[in-house]
Amino acid sequence: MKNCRNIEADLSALIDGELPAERQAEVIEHVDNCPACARRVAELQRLAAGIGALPQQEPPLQFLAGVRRKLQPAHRWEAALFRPVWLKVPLEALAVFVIIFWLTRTHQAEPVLAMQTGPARSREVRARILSEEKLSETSVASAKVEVGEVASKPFAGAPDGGGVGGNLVDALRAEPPVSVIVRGESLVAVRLRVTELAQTLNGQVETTAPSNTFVVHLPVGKVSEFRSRLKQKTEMIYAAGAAPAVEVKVIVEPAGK
Amino acid sequence: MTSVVTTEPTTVSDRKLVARCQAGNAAAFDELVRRHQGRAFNVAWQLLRNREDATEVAQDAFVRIYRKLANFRGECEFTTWLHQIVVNLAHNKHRWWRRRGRQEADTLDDDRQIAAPTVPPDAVAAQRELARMLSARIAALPVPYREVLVLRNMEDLSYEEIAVVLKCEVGTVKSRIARAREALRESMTDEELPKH
Repeated sequence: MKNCRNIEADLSALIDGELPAERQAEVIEHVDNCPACARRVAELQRLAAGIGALPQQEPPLQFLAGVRRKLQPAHRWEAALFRPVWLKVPLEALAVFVIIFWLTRTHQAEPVLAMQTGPARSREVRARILSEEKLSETSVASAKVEVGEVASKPFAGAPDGGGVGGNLVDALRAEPPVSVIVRGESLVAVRLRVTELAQTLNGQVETTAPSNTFVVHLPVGKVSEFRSRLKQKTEMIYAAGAAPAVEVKVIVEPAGK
Repeated sequence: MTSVVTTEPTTVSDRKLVARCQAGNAAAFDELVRRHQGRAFNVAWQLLRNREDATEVAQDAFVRIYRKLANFRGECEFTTWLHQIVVNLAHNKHRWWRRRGRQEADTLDDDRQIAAPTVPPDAVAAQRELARMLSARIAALPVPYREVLVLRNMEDLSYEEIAVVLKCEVGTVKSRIARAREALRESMTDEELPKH
């Protein structure tokens, strides 16, 4: 029948009782006179009834308990811990980074703190060294190191790629107070390097005001070794590819000054 | 002396239970869950075809309802709201699996659910087989078709209610149901059609 195409779209709504009254009357009239559409309606009714008769799926017995569990605050934490991987992995990486950074800082802070003792500490260290080494007051050489950040500014006096400027060698060789510039990868790293080296040579480092100045006390005869090993240490670091980020001013003064 | 005995109806309406929940009555929420868990689970299962996923989605729907109950003003029936949330969460689950490359066919477990443990009489066996076949044909339909058929024929929602659940026009629901039935009919032989 020529109207079938227009009616077809409404047959489904007809069996659901979802057509407006006027349209419903039109469609029913057509179906009553069209065997093909009547057969179609019967099929649709059987399909709909078949779907409605499909077995209902039963939830698990512990369904309500599961809902309650998900509502408990502890579960929210659990859910947060097992959040989607795209969020969980970066968060965990960040946490690991923060922990490593904190541990590194703590590790580096210890010698710095050791340096940052006052004049009293200086006197104590000096007395201990004199006692242990059985040296006189005048036999102790001091190296005063003043530290200041001059970020990314190249030092003209230092050789390219060299850690310790040529001036330092000359300065350490000389007896009068001199100041030289040492390039380092960071302020803390330079401080740490100087402190470690001083302690290896039975020396001590302390901080005096201003805070960016510290004094290295060394037994007589150790200044030369301190000088060469500092140079060696710094050069090794730069040979490994570390870029100098700071320049450090070092003032060396002999004992008694 | 006369005494007046008032008895509460044995079945409290959803609306009253929701009001009690909003007043802080936890038992009322439990009752809502008990009353509608089968409906929520069945819809979720029909859309996901996986018991574990359906359980998670249906439970999460109630969790979401619990957290949003304070804002529920009763503009629609509680069951319509529940259906809306279940369908949304099922969509999310589909997307979640698609992103991880899992095909929907991997999740089907209807055979496991419908298969009878013992051999039944022939007539019952034939009926079961038809139901299994119909279920499999529905499972093969695209999700938009599947959800309108489930909501209409299994949950008895009106076109208007389905439009609210799916957040679309009633006309869209009407044409989608018609196309879904058409697709389902075309996927079946005459012998596979339900007998009545």
